[in-house]
Amino acid sequence: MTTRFCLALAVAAASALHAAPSIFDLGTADSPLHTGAQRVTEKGGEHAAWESSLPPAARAHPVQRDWVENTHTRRKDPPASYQTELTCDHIASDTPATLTLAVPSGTYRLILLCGRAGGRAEQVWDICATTEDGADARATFAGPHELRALTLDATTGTRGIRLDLTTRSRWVLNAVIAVPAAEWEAAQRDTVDPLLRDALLLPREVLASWKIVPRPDTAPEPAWSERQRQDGVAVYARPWCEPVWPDHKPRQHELDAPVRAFASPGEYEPLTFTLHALRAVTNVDVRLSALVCTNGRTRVELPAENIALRSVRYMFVRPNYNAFNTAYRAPDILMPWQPQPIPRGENLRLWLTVRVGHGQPAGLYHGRATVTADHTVLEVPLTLRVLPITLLKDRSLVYGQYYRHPLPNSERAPDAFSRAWWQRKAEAEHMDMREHGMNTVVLGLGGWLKDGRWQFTFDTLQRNLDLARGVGFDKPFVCSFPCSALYRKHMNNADMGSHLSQIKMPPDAFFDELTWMVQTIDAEARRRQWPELLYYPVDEPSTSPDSVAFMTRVMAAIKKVPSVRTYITADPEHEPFAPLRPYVDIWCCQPFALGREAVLADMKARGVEYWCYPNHISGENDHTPTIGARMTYGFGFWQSGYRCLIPWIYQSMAGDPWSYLDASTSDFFNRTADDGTPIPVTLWEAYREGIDDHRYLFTLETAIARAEAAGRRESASRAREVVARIVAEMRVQPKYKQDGLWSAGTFDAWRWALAEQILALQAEEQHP
Amino acid sequence: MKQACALVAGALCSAVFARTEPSLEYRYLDGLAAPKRWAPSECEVTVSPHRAWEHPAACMRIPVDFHAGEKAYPIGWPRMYLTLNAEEQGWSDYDRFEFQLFTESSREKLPSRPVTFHLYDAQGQKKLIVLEQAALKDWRTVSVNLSDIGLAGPVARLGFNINESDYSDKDWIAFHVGGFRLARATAPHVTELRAVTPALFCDCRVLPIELVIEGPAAQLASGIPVQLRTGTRTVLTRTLPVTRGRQTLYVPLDTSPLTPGAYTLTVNPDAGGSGPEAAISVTTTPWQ
Repeated sequence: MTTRFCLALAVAAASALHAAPSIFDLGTADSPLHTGAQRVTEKGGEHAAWESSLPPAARAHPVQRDWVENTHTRRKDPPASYQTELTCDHIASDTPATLTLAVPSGTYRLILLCGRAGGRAEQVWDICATTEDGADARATFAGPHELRALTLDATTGTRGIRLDLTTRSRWVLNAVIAVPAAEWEAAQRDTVDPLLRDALLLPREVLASWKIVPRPDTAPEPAWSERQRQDGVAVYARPWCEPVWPDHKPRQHELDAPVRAFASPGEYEPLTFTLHALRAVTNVDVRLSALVCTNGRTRVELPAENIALRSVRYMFVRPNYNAFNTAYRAPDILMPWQPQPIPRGENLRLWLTVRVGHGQPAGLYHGRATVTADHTVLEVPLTLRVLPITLLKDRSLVYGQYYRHPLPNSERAPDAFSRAWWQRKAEAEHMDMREHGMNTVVLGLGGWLKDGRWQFTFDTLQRNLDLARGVGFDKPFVCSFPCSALYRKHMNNADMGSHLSQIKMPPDAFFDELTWMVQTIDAEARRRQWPELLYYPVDEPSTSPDSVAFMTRVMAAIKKVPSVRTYITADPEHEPFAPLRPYVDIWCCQPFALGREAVLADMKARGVEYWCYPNHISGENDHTPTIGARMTYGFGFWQSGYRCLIPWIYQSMAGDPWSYLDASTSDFFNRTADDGTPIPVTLWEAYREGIDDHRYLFTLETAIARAEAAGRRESASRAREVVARIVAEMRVQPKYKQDGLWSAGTFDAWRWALAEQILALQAEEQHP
Repeated sequence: MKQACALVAGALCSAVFARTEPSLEYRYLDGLAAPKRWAPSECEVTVSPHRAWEHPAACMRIPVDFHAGEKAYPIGWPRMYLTLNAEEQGWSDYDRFEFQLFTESSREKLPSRPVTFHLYDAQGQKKLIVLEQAALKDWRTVSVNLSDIGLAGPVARLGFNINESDYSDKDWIAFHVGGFRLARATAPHVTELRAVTPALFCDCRVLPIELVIEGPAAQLASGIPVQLRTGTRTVLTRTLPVTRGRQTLYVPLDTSPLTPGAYTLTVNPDAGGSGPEAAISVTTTPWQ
């Protein structure tokens, strides 16, 4: 009674005030209060009241700006995520609650800030906010740093705005910004957007130390048609592996260019087109039709459900993952499609991924994308040629990913929903890796000393292997094991340091125990019938004499166990690593450091393997070298002689996964949707397309061999000429990134040239 | 008639672009060779006894030592940096930045990555160039096209470094760098044509080519002629607007598809049709 009377008074009082946005800052009684905001604690506030069967809890974190020493890297790190007065504190609960906010009567747009709650990495937050009108907004995300802004419209009831908060695990709420609907435009510009930038990107005083350096646009303004001016939107098409920058103009020849692709059954193929806003567009929506082929009299469909529709999201990115103070907007994440506005002068790139089923009949398929941009409706024709080719894949090659496994988080999760979320994430990501051509993943075996005896996480590794094998990963698994824990045991808890920067030679007993450790792991692996593990004791050792001496003895100790193979991330061209050569079975280096002839000769002579972790196209230092990524995975890998591509990493997250400017390093590569499924980035799609280029090459080489064996030398020779022409036109490089590459369209032209030869050899085989 | 006009226009335009090496103008930045201008780390910078193009040089001598240097990184990156004075900036009127490099060492052979040259703008954005051309006891010219630097702002700082991990402990190496200069062509000149599109669908709208053009920007207004031939038959001639530096040009193709086959693209052809050229394979189209 008292609460309702107080709120009624509060509403009356609020009505007398100027109807400006109301900001409610949720937190503890003494946590920092955003200027002009109204405090709401777990007990409520002057203009807010809670109803719940169990009272929620309030918590606050310091608003930290200082950088702190990292004893492992010996560098100073910024905060993992930046708090503001609005986000440093919150109220959370695992029980439903209703929050009533006393605001003048009317219709409002609400912005809810949810997240930055700190706490356990395994906690999955799940928030559903529902108004009295029935409008709702939801978010599900994991960990201590992510922050989300939910938007929903609400109309006041008798006591103000009522928000029902429900959850499947724990909900968290940091702030509510209530803007009268009539004032939204001005409030968005003057209040909401600045607050959101502070909260979601960087606080303004931190952002002030960064320089935003847009990529210059050197293209001349195209001649717009009268129709485009009237529509306010121009449609254009550019090869998918060439970036579209946020505010660049289309080239003249790209306007209304055909949106087309070709693919073989079993392939995923991108089709992209872009909308350039000649004036601000408040809402764009897109609908896809099926792709239809009329092969003479037969009508065949490739249903719209087989086409994933996404749009390219621009992110503020750093020029390198550990660089600071310079950023620019770059095309990066392929977000699931949602209707959205386009600011004037900016681009919205639609990214369609067509899945061509294994039984899809060959032919020329046509469809359309219907674009509604405010009052304008545009039809964008789509064309896909499905080829009658059964694509092969060189199964001797290894395609892997470094990977932060979600399953341990599932095991440590505090509630059932969080447990299931991490499990689903792991499963979905493995499926995704398989669908992108991967056949292994980097794993780790944990271990610790308990009462003088080593405990190993064999069951955890078992589950990880089962998941990987369940999706068809059939290659050896690079596996780290507790070498650093063993070092601490023998070296009085000392740290080896990043890249072995603090290494000192341990006693012989360390190496003896290391051999025992590998023997024990190997015995268990045989007992459990595991696939081959590649023993990976230390990552990226330096070339210092102490590091090399230590690593040489480590690898020698491992090699004392019969039949096990060792793996090292190091460049064999570095002379200081020479002592390691007798003990390393797999050299994994960043570029294709050694040339093809040297690699093939050494592999043949000594039985070693050369692998590559091509981080220059993994997003680590540039989110846009899609042409370089396609080249690395396709023609480049084919010519290199290397046996594996295994970049770091499938998903890198530091701080808030949607702000790349916080934390000591930038996030990069694939993101995660609310349901735990992966959200790809353009580079990830480029890997798959490069692998497909390689498949066309391998399919043709196999067909050539078959033709030659059958005596069809003329057609085989014609096919070989095409392959030779491609090799002659390649500028072979250790790293394919930006320079010295073909234009984007050339890759498809070469792929078609290969396909033509496959079809010709196929036809000759079928009709001799 | 239209084609005739294009051909005539092409002939007139071709007179603007030099077909032989044009004369070059240089602006020497001798101040960059002064040792005291460089801030060295794990190396020593002195006046070089050598001259580069009759201009002064500095000597960066590096004793490779896997045990000395920075405590955290004993196998580190001996380096030196120099900040340009105001009067040394303003490179936009030039085509290239050049210097000469002479290398001496205790080694018999240089590593594949002997030394890296750095260019920075005022915001700290950088361009790194590995000087693979370095050769023992031989002068090599380092010539950087300014349009390849790719910095948002003007060049404000230079640097050199080696990775000690590319060398062996106790090696020594000395880089003599001098003759620092900015260079520009006095007449428009195509210095590079890159075949970025060796394969093309017959129904493409454009043929992308990559060119580097040097010379005064004011003389480029009339564009550059390009010609596409198959065998001896000229298929099309176009004159395209160009700017100074590295650029991608999109050669408009006819609306009717090209006949699949082998083609040659020639830039700035002379009366006989010769000039920098690139081979193109035109393929059929999958969409017909």
